[in-house]
Amino acid sequence: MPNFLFEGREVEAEDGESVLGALLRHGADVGHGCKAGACQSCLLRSSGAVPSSAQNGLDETLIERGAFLSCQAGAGDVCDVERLGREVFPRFQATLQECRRVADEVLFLRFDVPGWSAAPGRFVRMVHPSGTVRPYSLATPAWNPPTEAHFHVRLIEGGEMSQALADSQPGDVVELEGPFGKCSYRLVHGNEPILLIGSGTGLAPLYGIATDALHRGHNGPVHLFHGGRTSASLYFRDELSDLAAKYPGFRTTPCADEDVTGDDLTGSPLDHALREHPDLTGYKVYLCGHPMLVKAAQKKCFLAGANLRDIAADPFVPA
Amino acid sequence: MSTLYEKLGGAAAVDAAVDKFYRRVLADDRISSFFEGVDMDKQAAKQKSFLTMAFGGPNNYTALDMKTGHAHLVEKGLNDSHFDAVVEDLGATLKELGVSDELIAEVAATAETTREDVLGRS
Ligand SMILES: Cc1cc2nc3c(=O)[nH]c(=O)nc-3n(C[C@H](O)[C@H](O)[C@H](O)COP(=O)(O)OP(=O)(O)OC[C@H]3O[C@@H](n4cnc5c(N)ncnc54)[C@H](O)[C@@H]3O)c2cc1C
Ligand code: FES
Repeated sequence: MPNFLFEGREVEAEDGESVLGALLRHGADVGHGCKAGACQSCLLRSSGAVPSSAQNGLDETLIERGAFLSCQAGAGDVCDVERLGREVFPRFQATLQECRRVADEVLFLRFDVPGWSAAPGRFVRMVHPSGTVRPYSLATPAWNPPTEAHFHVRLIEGGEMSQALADSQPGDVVELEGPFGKCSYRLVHGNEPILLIGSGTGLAPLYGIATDALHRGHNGPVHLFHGGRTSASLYFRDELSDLAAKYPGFRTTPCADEDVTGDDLTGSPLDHALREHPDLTGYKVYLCGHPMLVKAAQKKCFLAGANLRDIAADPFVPA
Repeated sequence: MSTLYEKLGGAAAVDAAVDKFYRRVLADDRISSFFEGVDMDKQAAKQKSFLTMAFGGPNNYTALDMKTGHAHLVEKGLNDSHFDAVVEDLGATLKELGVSDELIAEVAATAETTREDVLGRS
């Protein structure tokens, strides 16, 4: 049996079980969310070897500390496992400054977070006073002070976190942990074309990344494809046209499935992106939003010539 | 005497080949259905260790890993023709990278040693 030690006590595991699966089955109180390797809620550390496939998307500093995603590691792949200490994940107090609807189902939130600094596009774990924890991506434009944190949150019917946020008032406090993930503009970039594809609030990180690239003087073209169910659900149009007016290298293409109005294209942002950019050799690609879109896009963009390490993807997998 | 791995260029050669090889495999209609729905980052990591092994480099592949790792694919019909397709894609990748026919034959021969394990006949 692939047993392992958790904080010094032996945990009995079954063949094929993940570390997280075994711990939860035994009633251990271990944070988790998507169980699909996307949200990094299930991080634990090991003093011994861990499979690199359970460290996909983790920061170097986390990898150095032996951190791994416990939902992605087989129980037989590890020996001695423990929680990551608080010193690895300081929490920051975030005070709400502004909360408004930018579309029927989308909230825009702006927090003041003293001491905070993170690249736009990466994600945080937001901890509500009620104890609910969910990952959200940073949409803060690059020219704002880093102690501001902007988010775009889709309202989910019956959704614990999104409904709580909808009811919140300026002055309310949540905590932020992080940042996590690899979805951010990297300085090594320079002249490459950048392609950003997303759906719904997948725009949050993509908008942040686009502002970061343009603000830092990225020379290559930056093209954003934003998809939604209807034209009316596509938000932040003014912000995106402001960006295009200020930076000639930036373009945006709105796409909707139904009730399409104006110059919006009908269909999936992925299909339109690949029609306009059939050869992605040398491109930097960013994909965020609905997990099905992101997974399909990752494969199609790779087949269209983008290198895997040049494709950064955050599927918004629900907990 | 330098080893096959050194002649090919070591870890850098694996890095140069892995995306090209994986892209060929995914685009190959004969075998692409076996990769439906798999996590691409994880799969790329596996392709990398497969290439390292086929290039004669340091690896920790065992016959048992090969067998258990492919058992679910054998159940879905993985057979010699698919194995041949992978070896062919591997050869085409190396040709694209300008590797000599002689070294390609050596790589193919190394990959060949895993055939019985992969197809669960060992
Ligand atoms: C890396 C990462 C980054 C993310 N960034 C963002 C972001 O920037 N903005 C954002 O809005 N979300 C983002 N998400 C998703 C977010 O974390 C939550 O999953 C989402 O806000 C729902 O939380 P909730 O508490 O409101 O709903 P929950 O209480 O978790 O869910 C209520 C019910 O709704 C279902 N549900 C959840 N999401 C959806 C959906 N999209 N469509 C239909 N049904 C759903 C659930 O399965 C559940 O049955 C991100 C997720 C990940 C993994
Ligand atoms: S639960 Fe492991 S990454 Fe989401």
